[in-house]
Amino acid sequence: MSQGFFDEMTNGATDPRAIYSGVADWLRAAPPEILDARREQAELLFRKIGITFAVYGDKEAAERLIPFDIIPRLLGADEWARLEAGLIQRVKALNMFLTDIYGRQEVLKAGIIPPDLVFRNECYRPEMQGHRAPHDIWTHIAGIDIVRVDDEDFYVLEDNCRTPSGVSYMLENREMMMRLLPGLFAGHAVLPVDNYPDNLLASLRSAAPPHCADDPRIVILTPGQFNSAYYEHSFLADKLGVELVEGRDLTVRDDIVYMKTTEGEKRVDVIYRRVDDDFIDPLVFRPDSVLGAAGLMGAYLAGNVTLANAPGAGVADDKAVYTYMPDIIRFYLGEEPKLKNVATWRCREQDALKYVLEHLSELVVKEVNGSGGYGMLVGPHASKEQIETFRQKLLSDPDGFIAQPTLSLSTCPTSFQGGVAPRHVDLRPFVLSGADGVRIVPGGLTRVALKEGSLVVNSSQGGGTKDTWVLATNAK
Amino acid sequence: MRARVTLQIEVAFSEPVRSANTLLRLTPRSFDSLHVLDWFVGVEPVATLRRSEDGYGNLSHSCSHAGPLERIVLTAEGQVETQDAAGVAHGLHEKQPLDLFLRHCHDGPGAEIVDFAKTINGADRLSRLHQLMGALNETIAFAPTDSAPRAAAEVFAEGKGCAREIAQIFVTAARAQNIPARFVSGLLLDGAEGAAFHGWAEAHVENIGWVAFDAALGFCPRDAHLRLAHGVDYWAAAPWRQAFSGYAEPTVETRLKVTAARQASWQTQQ
Repeated sequence: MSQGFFDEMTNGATDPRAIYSGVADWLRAAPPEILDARREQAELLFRKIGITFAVYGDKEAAERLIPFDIIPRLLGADEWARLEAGLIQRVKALNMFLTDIYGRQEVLKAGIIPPDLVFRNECYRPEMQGHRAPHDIWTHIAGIDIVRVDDEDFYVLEDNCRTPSGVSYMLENREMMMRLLPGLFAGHAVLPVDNYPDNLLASLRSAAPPHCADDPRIVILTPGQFNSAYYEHSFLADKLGVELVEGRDLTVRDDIVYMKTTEGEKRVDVIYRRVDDDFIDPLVFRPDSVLGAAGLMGAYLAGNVTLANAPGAGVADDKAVYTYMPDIIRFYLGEEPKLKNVATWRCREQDALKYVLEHLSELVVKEVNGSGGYGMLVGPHASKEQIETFRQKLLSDPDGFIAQPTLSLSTCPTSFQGGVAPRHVDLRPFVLSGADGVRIVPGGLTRVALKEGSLVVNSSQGGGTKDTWVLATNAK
Repeated sequence: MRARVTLQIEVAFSEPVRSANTLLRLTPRSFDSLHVLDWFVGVEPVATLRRSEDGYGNLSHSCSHAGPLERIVLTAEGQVETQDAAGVAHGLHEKQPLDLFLRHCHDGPGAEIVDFAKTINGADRLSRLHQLMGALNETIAFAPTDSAPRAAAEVFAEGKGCAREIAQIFVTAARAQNIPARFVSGLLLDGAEGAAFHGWAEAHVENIGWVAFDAALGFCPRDAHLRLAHGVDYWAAAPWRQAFSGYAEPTVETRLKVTAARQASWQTQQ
C-alpha cells in the first residue's frame, strides 16, 4: 500500500526506523480492542471539551469534530533542528519581503519578481504603501505547511501569512495523548509544546507600539461565534489571559483604540486579529463590514496600535509569489534556502507553459488566486475531458496558473476500526515573530488524509489530525 | 476657470448615535491643470481633523465624534483655478505603479463587460478609450444621484447609472482590455448635473500619461471638473466615508455652491 511513498515509520523496510521502534512495539503489543477503545475515548473527550469547527454551508454539521488519530507522528531532534532553522530563515525573509514591498521595493527594482505579481494581487494593500509595520514585523504568526517525501528533505507546500489556524488542535492533541496513552508518552522524551501561549504572548507584547512603555493591553479580535475557528479564538484568549473581543466591543476615537468594559473604556495596544483585511475597517476596506472597527486603520497607520498580522501581509503567501521564495531568501539573506520549494512551472513563462501542456496528465495545475482546492487539476486523477478543459483555460490565461508535480507525500501509520494502515500526512508548524526574534515550539499540527490514497489533508475534506512528537533523541 | 466652491454634507440621525468616525477626501491637490488657491475643511460639532496622505497620494482628513450626536456637518470650501488640458492629468503626486490599476475587483469584471470591451477595437489605445467612452455614453443612461454606487456588472446589466457607476464600468472595461485605469472622484464646477458628487475615470496612455474620461457626460474633462481623489475603485477614492454606532437612520443632504470668480488672465487672452 505504501509503495512508492516514504513511510515515516518503516521507510519501506520490515523493521521500523529507530525513532519509531517504541511506537512499533506498542502497536504490535496492543490488542485491537485497546486501540478501538482509545479512539472512542478520544472522540468522547473532544466532544466534552467542545473542540469543534464549523463547516460553511453544511446545516447538518454546523459544529463538527475533526477526527483525531491516536498514533503519534514522530520527528527526531536532528530532523527538527533542520526544520526549525529553515522555518526561521523563511519567516525572516517573508517579513523582509513585506517590509520591502511596502517600502523601497528593492526586490522589484532588482528584477527578482515581476511587479505585476505583486500589484495585481488583491492582497496587496495600496493603503499600506509607504508605511512601516511596528518593528518591521508583518507576519507575527505564520503557519508554514511542510511535507516530506524522503527521510532527508522538508518541502514547503504553502506559506500562510494572514491568519493561520489550527494551533488549538496542536495543544489539545497533546493533552489528549497524555491522558489516553500516558505509558507510550512517558516512554518517549517528547519536547513540550504547552509553552506556545507564553511564546505567543511574549511575541505580541514585544510587537507593541514603541510608545507603549509599560504593560501593553492585548486583545484577540474574532469575527464571532459563527466563524469556523471560533473555538480556537476563545481557546487562545483563555490561554493567553487576554480579552476576546468582537468588532462592536472596540471603539476608535482620535486614532486611539479602546475596548468597552464594565469598568469603562480601556486603551488597546495590540490586536491579534482573526478577521481578514477586508473586514477590519469599514472606513477603509469593505464598507458593509461590521466585523471590524471604524477607524482601526487610521489608528494603525498613526502607530497607536499594532495589528497582528499586519494588513497587507497576504501578498507574501500568494501561490505565484511562493514560486519565487528561494530567490527571495537569497536576495534578502544572502543564504541558500534551507527548506525546499516544490518544483513549480509558472505557466506565464513560455517554456514552462509548453512543458505543462505536454504533461498535463502527470501534473497538478493550480489557479494562482485559488485556494482550498478549488480551480485545481490533479492530472493523474483527471478524466480526458477535464484535462481538455484545463488545456483551454491554460491557453487563454497562462498567467493565472502554476503547475507542480504530483508529490508523493510521506505516510504515517493511522488507526482505523479494522486495524492500522499508512495514510498521507503534512505538518503545519507555527512560527512566531516578535521584535525580539523568532519563536517556534517543537511540533505543529499534523494533518492526515484519512481516505486511502487521498493526498488531501484539509479538515473540510475528511482530513484528521495527529499529535506531533518532536523527540529529544535523534532520528539517525 | 476660477471658482469659489462651497460643499456641505449634512448627516442627520433619526436617533442620537453613540459615536461616529468619518474619513474625508475633500481636499483637492494641485497639479498642472488645477491650482488650489486656498482650501478649508471643517466639521461640526467641532472635532480634531487629522490630515494625512493616503496610499494613492490623496489628501485625507479623519475625525471622531463622541455621542450623543444628532447631526454632523462637513464643510469644504475654497478657491481653485482650473485649466483645460483636454483631460490630461499631468503633475500629480503618484505613489502607485500602473500594475495596480490593472487589478480586477474580487468578483472579476463580469462576462458582459468583458464581451462589451471586446467590441472596442480602435487603432491605438487613445482612440480605443475614446471609443469606449462614446459607447458607454450611448448604452448606459445617466441618472444622477448621491447614493453609494452599485457593482459595475449590476449597473451594466441594468443599463442605467449615476456618473460614479458609469465611471466604474469604464474602469472595468478598460482593464479588461489591459489598459491601466482608475476611478476619480470630484465635483462639477458648472453645476449642470443633479448630484453634487461626480465621478469619472482616468486611463493611462503611453507617451501622454493619465487621461481623464467622463463617460457619463461623454467627453474628456476640461476645466469644469474639480478633481478630489483617485483610487483603484470608488471606495478607495470616495469623497467621504462614515461609520457610526447606534440604532439610527442617517439622512444625508449634500449642498454644492459654485460661484465663478473672475476669469484667469491666461484664459482671456486668446
